[in-house]
Amino acid sequence: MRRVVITGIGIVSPLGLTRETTWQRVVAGERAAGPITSFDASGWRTNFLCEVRGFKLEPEAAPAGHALHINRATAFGLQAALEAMTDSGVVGHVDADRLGVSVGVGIGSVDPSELTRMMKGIDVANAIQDLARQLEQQQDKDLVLKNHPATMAHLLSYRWRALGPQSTINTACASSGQAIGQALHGIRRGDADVMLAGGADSLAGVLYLAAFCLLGAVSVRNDDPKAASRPFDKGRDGFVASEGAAMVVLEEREHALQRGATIYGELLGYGDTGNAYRVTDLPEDGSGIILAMEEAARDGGVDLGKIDYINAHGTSTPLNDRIEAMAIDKVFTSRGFSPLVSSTKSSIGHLISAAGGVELAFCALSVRDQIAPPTCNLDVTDCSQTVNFVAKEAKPHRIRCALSNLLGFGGSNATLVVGDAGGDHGVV
Amino acid sequence: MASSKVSERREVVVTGIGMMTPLGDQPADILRRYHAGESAFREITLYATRGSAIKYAGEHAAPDLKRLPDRKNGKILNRRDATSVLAAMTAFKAARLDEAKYEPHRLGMFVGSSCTHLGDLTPTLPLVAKHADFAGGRFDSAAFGLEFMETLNPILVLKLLMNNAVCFGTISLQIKGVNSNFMQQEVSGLRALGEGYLAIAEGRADAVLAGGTAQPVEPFQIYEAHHCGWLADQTVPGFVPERAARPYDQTANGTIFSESTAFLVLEDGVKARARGATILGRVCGFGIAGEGEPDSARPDGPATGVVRAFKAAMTQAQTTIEKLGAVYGNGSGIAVSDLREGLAMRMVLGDRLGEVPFCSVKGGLGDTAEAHGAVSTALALAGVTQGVVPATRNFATPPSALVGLQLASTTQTLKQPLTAIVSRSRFGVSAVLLVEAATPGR
Repeated sequence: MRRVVITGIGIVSPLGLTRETTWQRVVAGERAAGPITSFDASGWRTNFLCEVRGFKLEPEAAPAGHALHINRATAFGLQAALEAMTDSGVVGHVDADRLGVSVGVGIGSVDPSELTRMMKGIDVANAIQDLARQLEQQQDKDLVLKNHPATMAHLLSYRWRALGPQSTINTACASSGQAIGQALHGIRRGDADVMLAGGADSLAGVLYLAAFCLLGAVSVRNDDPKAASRPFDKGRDGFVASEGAAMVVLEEREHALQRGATIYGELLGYGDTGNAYRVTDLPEDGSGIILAMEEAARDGGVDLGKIDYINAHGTSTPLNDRIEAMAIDKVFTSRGFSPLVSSTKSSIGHLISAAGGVELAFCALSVRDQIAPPTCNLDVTDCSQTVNFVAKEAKPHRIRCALSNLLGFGGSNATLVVGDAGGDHGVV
Repeated sequence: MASSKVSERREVVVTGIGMMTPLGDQPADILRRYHAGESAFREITLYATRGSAIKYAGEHAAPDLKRLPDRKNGKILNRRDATSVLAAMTAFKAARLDEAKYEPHRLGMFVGSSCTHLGDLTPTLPLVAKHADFAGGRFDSAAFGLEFMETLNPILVLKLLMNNAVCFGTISLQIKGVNSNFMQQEVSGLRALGEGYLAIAEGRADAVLAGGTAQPVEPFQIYEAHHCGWLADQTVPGFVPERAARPYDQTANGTIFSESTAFLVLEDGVKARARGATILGRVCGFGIAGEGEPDSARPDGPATGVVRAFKAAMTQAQTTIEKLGAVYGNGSGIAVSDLREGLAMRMVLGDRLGEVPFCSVKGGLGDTAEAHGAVSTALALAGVTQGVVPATRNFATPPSALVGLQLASTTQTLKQPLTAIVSRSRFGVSAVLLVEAATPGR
């Protein structure tokens, strides 16, 4: 079997516009949440989130001639890809038809200025037809591409001349985890030698955040936003919306070794399952995520005992965290293993469709630096008492393999396992 | 580099189909009606078209929400997603998967879906208008959000989720294994079938429901497509919707949209035969490739992604172009797209250019967008069974660059069962799936 390693990482997050800045601040236990600055949410049930600030898309990150097709999330993705591709040094070392793209994307959101422009002069009583005609009259065909989920993958393909396989996936919070998992399969299979994989999303939109408020899924701790994302803590009351992107360069191991690439770690295994339960809930027995973790380990030929760190999905919602902790207990603790567990959503919030990319990147960096980042705000847990949570402060530790869980709204689960670069992980 | 482990791949067969198109819900019947020249198009009834240049499209029958296992879901699912769930259930039942003894986690589901309908945002629009200061170009997001949260039903939000087809499909059929939801425009449905094929071939699932769904007969998508120049002009004197889309014809000037959904049950061949399933055909290869540019960047050049996707699919199938019996193209009547695809097919077919029947069903069925790959695959399997390649309706004379392709306005004979289905997006990605008749006893 062809083995797959990570040779480049790029991150844009509310804690930094680069990989290392973000990672250092996550390890330091910084928390990004704060009052919303991108629009006025005064009086809202939730009026804070984790925003990316000071961001400017570098011209070289985007293909020429497509500026009008780039929305906020896509800009994050393009920038993260530039950092990842530059970091990997793979440009010039891979044939165009052996380079592919696989990304997870969000639902997107039309911003207020667009809404206002689009709605001008319409007949509210017949809004949808008139709005559509308005769009036609405005001759604004760029809006079509700007807000289409497939656009980011297309633009990455144009920019990096990636003529290999291409995927765009939306399975909510599991999106970029699945995108990375399918990229792993593609390289193993021989469809590509290098895949640019990850995801981007932005919940910093009026409609997006209002929708999650309406669902009652986000924290309402308006008086103390930095304390709001508290995965596994008994005081948790919902997730904290966020935005950003992470892209990784996945490369066939021999290809990477031959060109002398720096290797962060080896992407060992991927498991994906479905809950087949309810659109917004997990089954109480945690069966879907249990199977995903077991399948990822099996897929990678990884002994569960070698998984020393778990970057949990840990959204800070009451149900998710309780069931995920129980599932970790069943898979690991009950078998005598005690990996460190943390949720970095406590630092950077929930990036939804980009969460898989960011958290896989954190796993790779935890393997590189041999340190487990903390779960901020975890004072007292009401989840499984036997899970080995990393609370408040990062913990230096021997980390041979790290596992990332993604549990999607709608029932899709994805789990990825990454191992240290020099490890003999038993892949045959 | 060739694909690895080809010899270790499991055989993947098709054992069930569920679909919904403007020409019916059974592949053989759809082909019969297609060949009989029945019209898939009518005046749009799904929304008021007053003042619009586009008044005709293909609409299928309304989904029967009473068939949903949980009728409450009928309130959450939009027309596209409800049709998807019902088509998936039909395929599941046709394959008798409900009687099979598969573990739920060995069953998978892959969907190629269109994006959220802006039309589903309708309930929010009066609020947007109320809180917009059009003269000043400002929007009172605070007041909007407060009223949004106080007056709207959370079901609105659930309706907007783009992964509802896979979510409610897996819930309805208790599918707990591999899954995904692809959003790659016209390539989506074929991408889903390809991933389903690979999941079984590589041992990650025993059976998979895979397909595509699209409901482009929606005001935003219609208007957007019209504005982008993708739709045939319906305002010309004497316009006849049945003549609107003319794939690969020199007079092509756009397409006509149709809503459609198709799901196929893909299954491990050994296990399917062991349980006595009816084998409708085999899937034997899949390839997908980016093109690095949109059609608009090179309007008169070949879509090289098609060439690379073909090569990948052929390699997987361990076959050669000499074995190819027919190609179901993406041709929609959008001149640039059809030209680029046709030029790529010239490169793919080489010396066999004049021997391999090439067709598109979009002239008679309409442009089924994200569902295209799955719809064409279902029809291709029916064609393999009947030994025919469908006519390309409305095709008469190709542009000079496409002379030589075996296009015909009448039914052609299928001489070799290996059939390729091509899907491509005008924004630079192409996919190819290979299917053939099942080999008895393999």
